[in-house]
Amino acid sequence: MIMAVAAMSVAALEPLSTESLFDGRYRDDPSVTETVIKGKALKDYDLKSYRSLTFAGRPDMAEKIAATVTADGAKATDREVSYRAGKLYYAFYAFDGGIKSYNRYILYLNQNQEGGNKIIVVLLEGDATLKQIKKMFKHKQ
Amino acid sequence: MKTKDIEAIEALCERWFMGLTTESEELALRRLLAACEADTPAIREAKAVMGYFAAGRKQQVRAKSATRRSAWRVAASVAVVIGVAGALVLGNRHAGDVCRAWVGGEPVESDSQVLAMMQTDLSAIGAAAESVDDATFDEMKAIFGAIDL
Repeated sequence: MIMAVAAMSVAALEPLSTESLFDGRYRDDPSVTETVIKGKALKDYDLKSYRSLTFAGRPDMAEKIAATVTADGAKATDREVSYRAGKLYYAFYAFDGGIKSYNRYILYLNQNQEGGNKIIVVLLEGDATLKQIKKMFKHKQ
Repeated sequence: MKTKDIEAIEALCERWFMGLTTESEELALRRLLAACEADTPAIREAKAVMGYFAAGRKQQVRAKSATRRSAWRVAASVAVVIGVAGALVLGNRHAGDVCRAWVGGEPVESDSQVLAMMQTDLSAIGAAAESVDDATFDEMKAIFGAIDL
């Protein structure tokens, strides 16, 4: 039992490849918007961390970003994915941390597949459950 | 402590890092830092470096060169970075509050703007999620419709 819990905790702490996208490499890119939110601004959402990258007018980035998130997706405990013309259009991956405060979620959207011009990748960490995350989608501005 | 006093301490810290302080100035700086509750980056760094410098001095002959101080400054900075990184790795749950964005390289520091950007991203993803759900429902309906035939 202890071994199982320990294994679960180790899996929970295993870094996600998607995290590497947020090392600041795109921060000065004129086509990219990077957002980092941590702490009390996320209290209402039961999250500890929100990080996102939005690539505008950069369909060339789709392959790289999709490959990164799908590599993590293989380890996800819950997933919803949708492909358009053989390419990843939407992905929602949940990683149940097994320990409190360390649920992680990766969200991915390639609007270029549907006439838009943005690729969005979001990494969320915190207590929030799957249900709470989905509720965030419907939160009015 | 007054802003002027803090600025004076910071200026003295800078002189100390550059190796320009005299014996008495250094002693005064140590006393000031020990009593100083202000927490500016320069003061924090000087406190950290002096702490390391004092620890190192117990076993080594005192060296006052600016080069030596720079080395301690780098060592202390690395230690601070490792400490922060460790805290983030072991539990980013305790990391400080951050609410920032960079739009095409330009920083955005207004919380409301950054949160609005978060909602815009999530709304776009939410709309896509709904369309995927609808498409799945339509496919299921079509399949069940075919089975009924």
